Amino acid sequence: MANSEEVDVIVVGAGMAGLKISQVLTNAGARVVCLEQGPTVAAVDHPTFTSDWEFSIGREWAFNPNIRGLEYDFPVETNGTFQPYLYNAVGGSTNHYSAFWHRLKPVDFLKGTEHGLEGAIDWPITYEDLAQYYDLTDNEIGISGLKGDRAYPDRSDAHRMPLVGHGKYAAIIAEGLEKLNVHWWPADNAILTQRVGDRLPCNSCGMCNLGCPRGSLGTAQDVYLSSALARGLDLRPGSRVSSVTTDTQGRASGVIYTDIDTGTEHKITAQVVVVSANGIGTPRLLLMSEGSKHPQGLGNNNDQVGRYFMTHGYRLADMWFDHSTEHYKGPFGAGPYVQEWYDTDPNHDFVNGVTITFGGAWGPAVSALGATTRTRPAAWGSKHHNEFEERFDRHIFCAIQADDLPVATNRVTLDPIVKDAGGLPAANVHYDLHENTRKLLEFGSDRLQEIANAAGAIGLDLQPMDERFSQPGWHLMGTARMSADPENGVTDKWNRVWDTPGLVVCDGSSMTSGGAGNPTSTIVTLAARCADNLVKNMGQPVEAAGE
Amino acid sequence: MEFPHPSRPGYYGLEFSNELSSAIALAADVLIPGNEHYPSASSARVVNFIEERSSDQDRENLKRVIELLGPDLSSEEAMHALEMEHAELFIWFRDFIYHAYYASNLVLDALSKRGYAYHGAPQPLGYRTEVNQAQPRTTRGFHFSSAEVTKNHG
Repeated sequence: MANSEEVDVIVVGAGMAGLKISQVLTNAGARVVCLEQGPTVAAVDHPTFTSDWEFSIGREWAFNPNIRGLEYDFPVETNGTFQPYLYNAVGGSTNHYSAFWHRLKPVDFLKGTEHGLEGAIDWPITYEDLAQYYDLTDNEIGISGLKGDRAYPDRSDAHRMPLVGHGKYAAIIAEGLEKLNVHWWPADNAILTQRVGDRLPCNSCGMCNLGCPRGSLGTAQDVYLSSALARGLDLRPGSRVSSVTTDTQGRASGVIYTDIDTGTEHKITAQVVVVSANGIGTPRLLLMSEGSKHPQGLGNNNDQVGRYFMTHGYRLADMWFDHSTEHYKGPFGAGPYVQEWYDTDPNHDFVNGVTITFGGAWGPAVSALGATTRTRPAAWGSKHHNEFEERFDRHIFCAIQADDLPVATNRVTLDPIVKDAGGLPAANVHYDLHENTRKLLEFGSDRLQEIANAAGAIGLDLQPMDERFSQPGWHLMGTARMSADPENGVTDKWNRVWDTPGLVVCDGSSMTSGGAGNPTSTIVTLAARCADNLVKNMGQPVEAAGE
Repeated sequence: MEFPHPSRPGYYGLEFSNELSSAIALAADVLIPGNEHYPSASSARVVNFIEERSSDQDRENLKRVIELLGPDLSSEEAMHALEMEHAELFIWFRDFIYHAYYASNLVLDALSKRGYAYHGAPQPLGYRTEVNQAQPRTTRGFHFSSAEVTKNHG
């Protein structure tokens, strides 16, 4: 062990939750070390300044760490039913997210009461407990959008900037939705349309998922990092944490990590350890952290860590037109959304609901390859250019997003064979699409066809739901969930791990349900509430408690 | 820790033999021949793009494609046979060629002349969009309050 030191708080993971918690605690005067296994990404590192960006996002900038294969990534083994999407760097997965800014709704916190199917339980908190923190983080991050959507509770204390500029596709879809007389609303986005400090307003360049060198995208590092560093945050990129340590009483006492550049192992002790390493990385680290009081890993005395993995049911589609859609202008995947069918309908033979989203996406290469679904690539040979012009500037990205059920057997474990570059076990994620989720996606597909007809589309290509179906795992949730008691989750309502005093978990893994919307707003809001509680009780033991 | 700049030529990248480069160019032109509006794949210098971004595995795949196409690399029949009999490898090759082609400055110039506003690299220019975005005329929208949530909503 080359070094040993002591601080007040260690935060593992510099994504949206980890940096928010680091910022709050540092500002409150705590000595905080934030460990991130990836590097810092600078504006010029993003592949948005070159015309090969469509290629880059399929390789080195791929969402899937198994495709990127960079030294600081950890492999994620799966059973092939979803694509694990995450990013290891300062800012975490906000480095390549679409910044679609949904809140959960009151009903999402009460799925145990509503139906209780599979592993569905109520959150130990309600929407009302989070509302003020939603407003707070909205105003910190900077959200563009339109007020007044009746599909959500009052959000009048959350400021909204003018809407992001989209290509023609937004108006095309809007006209179709108006004809159908269904709910729709322009998306809230964590994308600036007005300058904030050195963050520039969006210029509708078209591919938020490559990261944003202008700072328009509300990434964790652009919003929270600089103020935390100014107040003394000790951020350590390139730090691969191998375990959270515990003392003889089973209390979290610190971490052991390796500096990836030098290979040197370090030990830090702290009063509080916060794990914010995402819905796969967090359970992986808890399971790697065995101790005499925790032979199955931290937080896992009731065999709950890693269970209830949710990633939203997702079915992607391309809507085709015989006129210009300008799909290459405006933010990726965050135009109009439809929540006409968000809630459980007792007349259906399934529970929960869907959000359908429309947006721009991609440039000419992906258009030529058949757009998002790749189901109708332009022919090769003499017909190529004619078929290319029938595709490019002629499609709209569509996503059906279903509220997934938490299922105990959908679980993150440690892979017994595959290791990362440091010799630590890869994550292994088993996920089976639940029949309820499949029905939701099929129901949403029928509604999408109606929307396509109303919008005047000449075709709709849906991602085939056959044996090859492998949905995008953009959202990693539920694997160290909040619960009202230790038997049904990993933390209490303040993110304190039930069986490990001194240990806090806060990120997507904390989410007891996923709703049918993108989760980053809820993740940073949980972090704000968690950090607020830690500050209020600074100096006191961190121990979980039921009601 | 420094970011590895993975998106840039040089992070990966190999030097192909002249024989392999010429073979790829011939095969690429079968996939995307030129016409009066667009350059051919080889004219758009797709081989340079591929060479600068290839791994050792990519080079092996390319050699396999050339081997399977046989002696007449300009043959549409040979490409059809590759598509039918080695679909996965064909798709990999086609995708690489399409990506290389539509990232080419010559093709971007052709797209501009055909009237498209697309200009390649997203930044620093971005795009001009409609100032007035579509907004709902209908006022649909509903949510349950916490107090209203009951078993299956009744």
